[in-house]
Amino acid sequence: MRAGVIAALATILTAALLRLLLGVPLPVELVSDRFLPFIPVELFVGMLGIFGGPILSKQLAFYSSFLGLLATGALIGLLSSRLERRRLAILAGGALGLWLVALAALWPALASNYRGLPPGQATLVTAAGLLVIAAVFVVSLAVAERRL
Amino acid sequence: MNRRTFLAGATGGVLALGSAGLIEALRRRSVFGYEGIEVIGAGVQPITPNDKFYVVTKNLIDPRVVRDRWRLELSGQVAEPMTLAFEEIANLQAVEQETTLECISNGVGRGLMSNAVWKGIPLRELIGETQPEAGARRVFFHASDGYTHSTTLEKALEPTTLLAFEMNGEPLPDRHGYPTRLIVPGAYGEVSVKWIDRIELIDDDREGYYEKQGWKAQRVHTMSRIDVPVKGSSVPAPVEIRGAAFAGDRGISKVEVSTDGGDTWRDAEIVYHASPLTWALWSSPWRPSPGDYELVVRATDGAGELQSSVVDDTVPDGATGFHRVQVRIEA
Repeated sequence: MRAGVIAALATILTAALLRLLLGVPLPVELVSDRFLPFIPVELFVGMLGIFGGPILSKQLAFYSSFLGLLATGALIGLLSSRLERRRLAILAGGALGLWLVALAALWPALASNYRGLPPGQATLVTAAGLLVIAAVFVVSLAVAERRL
Repeated sequence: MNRRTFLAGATGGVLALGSAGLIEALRRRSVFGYEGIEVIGAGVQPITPNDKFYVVTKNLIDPRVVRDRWRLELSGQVAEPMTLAFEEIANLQAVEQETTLECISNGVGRGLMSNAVWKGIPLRELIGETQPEAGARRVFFHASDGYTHSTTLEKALEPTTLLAFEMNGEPLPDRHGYPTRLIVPGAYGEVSVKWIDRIELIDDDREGYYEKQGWKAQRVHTMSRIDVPVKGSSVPAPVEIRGAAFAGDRGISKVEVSTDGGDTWRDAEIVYHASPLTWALWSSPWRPSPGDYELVVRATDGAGELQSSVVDDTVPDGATGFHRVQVRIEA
């Protein structure tokens, strides 16, 4: 679990750097942009009310996304530590699979770029950014498990 | 403590500190500090300063577009697709146009409405250059942050629909869509797409971000608001009742005030109304006796249509109803 938390922290660091420097959307931004438009307006406004209005809802989404990454990292770290053979291959395969699923599920939202890259380039940069984030997690987890 | 535990703790600590620092940097850039700020009451000015202009956004953190990277693409059902850099747009013949924007989520008596002088290019100049094909009937707008919205080709070709790049004499602030945004008079603010990077002429009915949710933003309801005195206040006579009224691109022809809960009405003086595209600021002197009163306001648009008295919330097409303010006049 300890290795998973360390890998999750490295992942958060990478995602935040990519957002600040290259305008690559955070995972929470991609997911909300992809799926919020499909929530009917009455339900959408009702949900905002439940969470205390737009600003509090956004703050909740912002902070909980990082906590969620930490919790997910810890869980994956725990599960990974129980693998006895081919741990790195399984982790790398899982990350690659998750990346492909994310590309398919989030595709239209990948064209966003918060530093103004044109849509075609933005899609490539966002896809590459997600791959980097996944790779950082796997490599950090492997290194942390072996060395720490 | 063994070596592995020490290394794990040190590594985790460094990463946690780094992550916390970057999360804090993101939070400082976030919209948490400025989204939804309303200017109402005595502070309302004819032209809203840029830093007071309301902001409503889908984003956690608004874009900070690097202008040299940014391009505007015009494509879709056109014979001559175009891609323009900012300088090519800024070098075109620009116009200045004062226009008020109101958020569709602006409730009765609320302040998600502001007025500015925008400088930009009539969108029809750019669309005309692309030679729209006969089948094109709608325009779909895309923004850097993934936001989308549509409007009719007819609306996009109106001379007052602008691709703006200046706001009150300054380059657009980041939060207002730098380097360019749409200004679509007559529609609620969500149609005036910020950080726009693609304009696509289409022959279908595809829907944008909020349109998919069910918002109907193409026509602003006529509204009016009492800014002074504020609801629940206790004030000495005489009172200068003041407020704002707005009717999209139809202009305001009359504002009426009632001091008896709507039983009788008298005309207010419109003290500022730069054009049919802007809000009207109004005033009405009042010398009441001490006591409790309910003030009500209603406006008539430029086509002579009285605003709706039906109380309805903002979902799905904007709020309606008269603004009512209870006040006590001091003895």
